[in-house]
Amino acid sequence: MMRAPFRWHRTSAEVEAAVNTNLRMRTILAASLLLMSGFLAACGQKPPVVSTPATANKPYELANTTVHELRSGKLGRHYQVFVDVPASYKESDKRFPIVFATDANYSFPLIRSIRSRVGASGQNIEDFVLVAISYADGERSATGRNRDYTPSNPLLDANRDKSLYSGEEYGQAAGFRDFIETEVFALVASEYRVDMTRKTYVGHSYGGLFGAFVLLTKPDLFESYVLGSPSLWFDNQSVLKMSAAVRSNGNKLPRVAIFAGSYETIRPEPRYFKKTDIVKDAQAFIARLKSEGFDARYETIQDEDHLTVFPVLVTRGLLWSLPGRGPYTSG
Amino acid sequence: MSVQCGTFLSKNGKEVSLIKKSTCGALAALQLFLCMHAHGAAPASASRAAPKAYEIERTQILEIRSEILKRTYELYIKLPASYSTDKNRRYPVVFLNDAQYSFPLACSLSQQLMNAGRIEEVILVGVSYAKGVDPDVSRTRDYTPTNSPNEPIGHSPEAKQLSGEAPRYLRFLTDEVVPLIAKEFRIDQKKKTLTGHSFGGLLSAYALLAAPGSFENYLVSDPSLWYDDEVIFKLAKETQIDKSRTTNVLVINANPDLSQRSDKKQTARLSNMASRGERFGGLMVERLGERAAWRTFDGEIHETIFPIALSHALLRFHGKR
Repeated sequence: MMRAPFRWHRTSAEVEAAVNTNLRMRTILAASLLLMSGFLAACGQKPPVVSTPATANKPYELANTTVHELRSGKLGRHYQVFVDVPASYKESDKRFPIVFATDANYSFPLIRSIRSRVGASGQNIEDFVLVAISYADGERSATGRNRDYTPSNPLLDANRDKSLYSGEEYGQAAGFRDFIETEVFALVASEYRVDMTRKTYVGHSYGGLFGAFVLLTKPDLFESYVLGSPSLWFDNQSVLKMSAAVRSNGNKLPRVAIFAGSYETIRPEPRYFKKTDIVKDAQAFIARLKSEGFDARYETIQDEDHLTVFPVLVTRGLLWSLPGRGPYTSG
Repeated sequence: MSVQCGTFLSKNGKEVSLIKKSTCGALAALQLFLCMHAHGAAPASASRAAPKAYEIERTQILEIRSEILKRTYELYIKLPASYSTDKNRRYPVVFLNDAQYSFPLACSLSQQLMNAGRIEEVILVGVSYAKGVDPDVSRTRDYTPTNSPNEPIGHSPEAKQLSGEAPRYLRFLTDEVVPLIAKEFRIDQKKKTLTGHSFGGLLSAYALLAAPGSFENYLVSDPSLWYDDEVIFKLAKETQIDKSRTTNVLVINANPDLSQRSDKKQTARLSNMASRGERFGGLMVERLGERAAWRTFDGEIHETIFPIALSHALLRFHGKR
């Protein structure tokens, strides 16, 4: 196990020499461990279980994934875009639908695992390319999502509930939306065999709020929206007042599915919310979308709360958005 | 390699964010090049660096050669956020089988619950399939308690031929994996959770009967209790669970909506799975009282239930009140 801090030298030659020494030392260490275990075995003792030094400390990588570094000219910040392609990507020359997700560090490994399990290689869920967008510049998650996912700045309201808004910067969802539309879409379209007319957005909590904001302000950005527990309460429901002025002429409206956990409503018992009623807000929003002609559906997921509902809603959202070739199989 | 790279760069006050994550092996040369490039020029202006695979943060892979099984496995470790700063603290450990699927999922699920303070910080340990072995063969061999080559359901005939090594695999977990993790990391030996789904759930059920107390908590998720003519129930009948040791059990079952199905045989098996799981859960409640619980989720299927089971297990076994 290599855990000791390693001292770096100034010149590249010295760096290289040091790396070589390091590798040599690892080899010697590995060899002596082998010798030692041989010796112990010869003495009739059980050799100790050892991890192999040469592979120790390698981080866990997700297969078939790529991290793209993307500096946003628009936002002046650096983002990472995580992309996962399905196993069938290499074998076919078709264009794949895309699922875009926010809160990437949480959503990316999770959506990927769910796709590979529930998807049954395209039988239950159509194979898709997964694209997840990180927070900027290695910042804390709260910093990034407060700024990029929210449509207005509640700090301007002197009467705000201060316990809900502890961040320093809010309200730049419009810029983040435009960054996705131009820079992220361009990256994905140029690097991957994707069908840019079949894009699903998946977001949870503030990510769901962001999805609602995009839906209301630039509905054509995605063809399907999966909004999990959207924080529609944010800043006195400011998002609901945003107009869909740019609604396209004659273009088909996107489809919308909203999910929330059964604990995401106000009740005194444990696990329930005490201030915000995400279930009620979501149902009201769905009614409005339907009245405006959207294909919109809502579902309460039993026995889940704000922190546990995402895997279930991803499962149901993907089955809804990208149904597989069938027949549906459950193992 | 790259932790070192990051140190090198930060000493020189240059941007490290592009390359601070670690890679190794064949990538080392590329990494070195990137390090030096970053050192020499200003990389921030370049909008795209060389692509790399996604690495889950604070994870590492240990390789373990099992003397018991004579096979090599990988252990996927995820350390909690405070691990590097809280140097005296010991952490509960959650073990996951079928780790290619379960480990990334568990990383996301547990991180969300830890960030919100809903569960205590835990170390995750995923155990891979045996290196160089077909996953279906590996899980059939390692997770089933008896040899049953003629099972009507399950994986390939080859896998079924090799089935029944759970007794030795369990010893591998308790006598080789746990000690190695205890040696390498600050773990709380009194808070070890074993999780498993499907054949992995069968393994959890077997483990809690065959080696109670080796782990304190057992998640049995949609277990394959039909296996070998319900052999697990025979074992349960013969086994006394030592109540002086802490043994907490959670059994989670999926009860799919079968009304739409045309395949009668499959349908019968699936509906029996939930009822067997409930029977086993009931048996555990009988034996262990409040330390055991079971739950069935209507409308979920075998492929959708594990994330739900895992959330419930984390909250039940590691929840903060």
